[in-house]
Amino acid sequence: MKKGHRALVGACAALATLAFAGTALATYAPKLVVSSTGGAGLGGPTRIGVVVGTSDDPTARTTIYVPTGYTVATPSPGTDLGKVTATASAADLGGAVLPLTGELDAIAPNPTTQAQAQACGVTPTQTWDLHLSAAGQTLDIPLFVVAPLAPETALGFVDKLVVCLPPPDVPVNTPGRAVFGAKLLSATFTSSAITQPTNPGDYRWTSLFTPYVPTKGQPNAAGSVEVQSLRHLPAKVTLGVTRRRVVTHRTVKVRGKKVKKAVVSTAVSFRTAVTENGQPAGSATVTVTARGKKVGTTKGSFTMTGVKSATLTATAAIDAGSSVPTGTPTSPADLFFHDLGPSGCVPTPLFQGLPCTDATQGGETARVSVVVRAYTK
Amino acid sequence: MKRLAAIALALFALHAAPALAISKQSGTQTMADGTSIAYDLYEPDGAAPPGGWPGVLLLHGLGGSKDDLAALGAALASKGYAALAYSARGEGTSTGNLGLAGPDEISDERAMEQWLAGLPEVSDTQIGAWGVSYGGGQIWNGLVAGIPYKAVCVVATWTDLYTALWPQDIARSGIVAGFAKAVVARSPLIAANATAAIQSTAPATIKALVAPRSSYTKLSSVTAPVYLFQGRVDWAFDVTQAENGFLRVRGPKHLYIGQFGHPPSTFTTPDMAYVQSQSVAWFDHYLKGAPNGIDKTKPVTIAAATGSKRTSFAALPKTKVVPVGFRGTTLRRTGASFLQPAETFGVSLLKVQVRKVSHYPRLVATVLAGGKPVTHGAIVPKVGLDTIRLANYVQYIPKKTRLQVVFGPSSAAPDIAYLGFGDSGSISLGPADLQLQVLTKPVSG
Repeated sequence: MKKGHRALVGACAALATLAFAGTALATYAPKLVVSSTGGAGLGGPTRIGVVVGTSDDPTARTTIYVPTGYTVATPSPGTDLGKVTATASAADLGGAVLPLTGELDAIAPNPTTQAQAQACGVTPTQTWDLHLSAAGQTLDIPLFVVAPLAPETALGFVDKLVVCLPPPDVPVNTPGRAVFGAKLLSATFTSSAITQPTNPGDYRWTSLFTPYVPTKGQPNAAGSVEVQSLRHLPAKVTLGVTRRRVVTHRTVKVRGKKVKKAVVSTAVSFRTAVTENGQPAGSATVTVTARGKKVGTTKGSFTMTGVKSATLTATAAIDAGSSVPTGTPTSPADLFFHDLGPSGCVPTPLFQGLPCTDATQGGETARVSVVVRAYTK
Repeated sequence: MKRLAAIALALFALHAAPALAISKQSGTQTMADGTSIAYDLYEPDGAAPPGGWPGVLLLHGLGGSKDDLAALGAALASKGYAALAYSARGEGTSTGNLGLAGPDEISDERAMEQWLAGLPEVSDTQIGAWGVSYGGGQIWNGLVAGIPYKAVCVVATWTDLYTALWPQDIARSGIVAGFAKAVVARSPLIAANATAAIQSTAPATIKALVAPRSSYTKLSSVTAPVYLFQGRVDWAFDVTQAENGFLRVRGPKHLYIGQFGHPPSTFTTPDMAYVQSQSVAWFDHYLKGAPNGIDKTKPVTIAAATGSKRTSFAALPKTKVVPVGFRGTTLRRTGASFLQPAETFGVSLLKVQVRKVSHYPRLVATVLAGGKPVTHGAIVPKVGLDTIRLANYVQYIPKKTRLQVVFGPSSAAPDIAYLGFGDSGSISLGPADLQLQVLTKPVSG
């Protein structure tokens, strides 16, 4: 539990001990991560991730607000919008974390999704389906695209993505209980229907997460929190290179006689800079390679001898300190992020004082290559 | 699991043209403790031969029932056997609680064997048994408990449940969870131990629980002819489980390592027809006394990874060790390219230097080739040089393939044998060396 929450609960305890008994011990610290799959530039599909702690209360509902600058298309039902990975802690499987994989599909509404939308309290403009499977079991979670209300539009949001989840921690055989008693811990999905802005800028995504009251199967509206994810576009790495002709001499024997021979090589120095929307990146790890071998990080030097040229490539992992869990060991394909914590979260007036508990910056990989010609004589 | 087993057994019917008209009779038998065991008895029509029909008990997989064995029962009856399929206690319409192939199940198995042998049209002595997975384990346990089977066929099963599902004290949690989920509603024993079993939090308790449910230490007492069928790649029961049975029993024995099995394999592979024909031939020889020559064939056969090629050996095939180094400190590493094709067979060892470990209850290693899991293993990591014994799967590795090893708290996608539990510890690793056990000559490719 965050320090601020503890204080709040403590202050209220004298007045409402019993009323808060269910939530006083609860914790809820979700994260939202937004990035892209199209490299670090502008445009391209959007990749969205959510993370909930293993010991957090189960999530009842998530509403993600898409900021102005992004566009949400209306794909035909049946369109595969992108890949999905997710993890869920399955109470019925001894608490094992199930890695789920699948795809996000645009689907036509059907009686099941319509009933789910009604239970979720939304009137969707589009219905998408997080179609997941693990070990031969499939799981379909509807994701509703919902038009923003006037106050939401006024605050600069163009659409909302809403997901409602069944309660996992109610007794087995309770109608509507989550399959396997599975509590969602993380999800990452790509949607080709949500396109990144084409103009440079700073974009703040926000979201509202509502947990369940533990073991009750009732959404705990008072426990809702706002979490955000920032995008500073575009993210770029630049590579500055200088080269210098170096001549050394070595002595060789020609027909038994010692002869001094000039050897020409090229000393290469390089320096990189990583920016997000023109400002230095808050967090980046740079690797520079030449002819496939690592020659340095943010800056460095090396010598070229006996070659005509070399391709120097700088790869910057930007805001990539953490990753959205997939249930399997971290891989380069994961969705990475830099956690800004509560201090990065700017409360949205829309949520009327609900705690703004976390913000992230979505990770990107930026790359630039330069061909360096060598001095040969 | 249950559905797959049913499909697999249905294949028997497809490949078994009825030679004799048959009848099916269903009923229940009441055990000594009052448990009602539901059965289906499949018998050939007409008069039994002198001495009666040879009999075969059929035992289903976990979470299944006698109904899964209908096609096999009918096929065997059409070949002149009295085939008795029954639902284990706590399964199907049988009453009682599932005790995980424990003393109660063995008592039931003995009672059903005696009941079958006591039928007037059935032989008093020529009784065999065929079981898959859970059923196979019960047959092994019945054999070492002295049930006088004259021949058995055991398919995709265990001889040592602990080393199969909790090797090096770490559960193959994805597999254990799947098994537990299948039967927990009717097994107080499983319900009481499932979480500890899945999370590997009480290895001594689990070891004590499953030891009496494993035949391994008593296999040298087995003299009945045993045909072992095991999957090349079976994340529940690897080849070692069958190898141990094959090496330790003292009677006639055959081992077929085929394409079927628990996940990631299935029980719908084409070579299930071969399993059927070999099973029938085994029973024909050892229950009916048919001189069909199966006792003279090479006892070990390995199917190729795909297709119908099979290679037979006079004993377990020879292997060699191929060393593969994984330098670096990262959790995901790639080794050198294979100059020649290879096919794994045996227990490979992965030695890894653990430099620091903090709140990291399990270190899982997944070996992949071309993104496909080859094998895996796990340990409770300790600082120093740790050795991970990797599961014994028969996997073909084509020439020029690079092996990759991935370390973590769970197995690497798409492998789900070792699921994690959301632990948040840390580990620091040094170099790792894989000693890969491979056949001296691949049987696939």
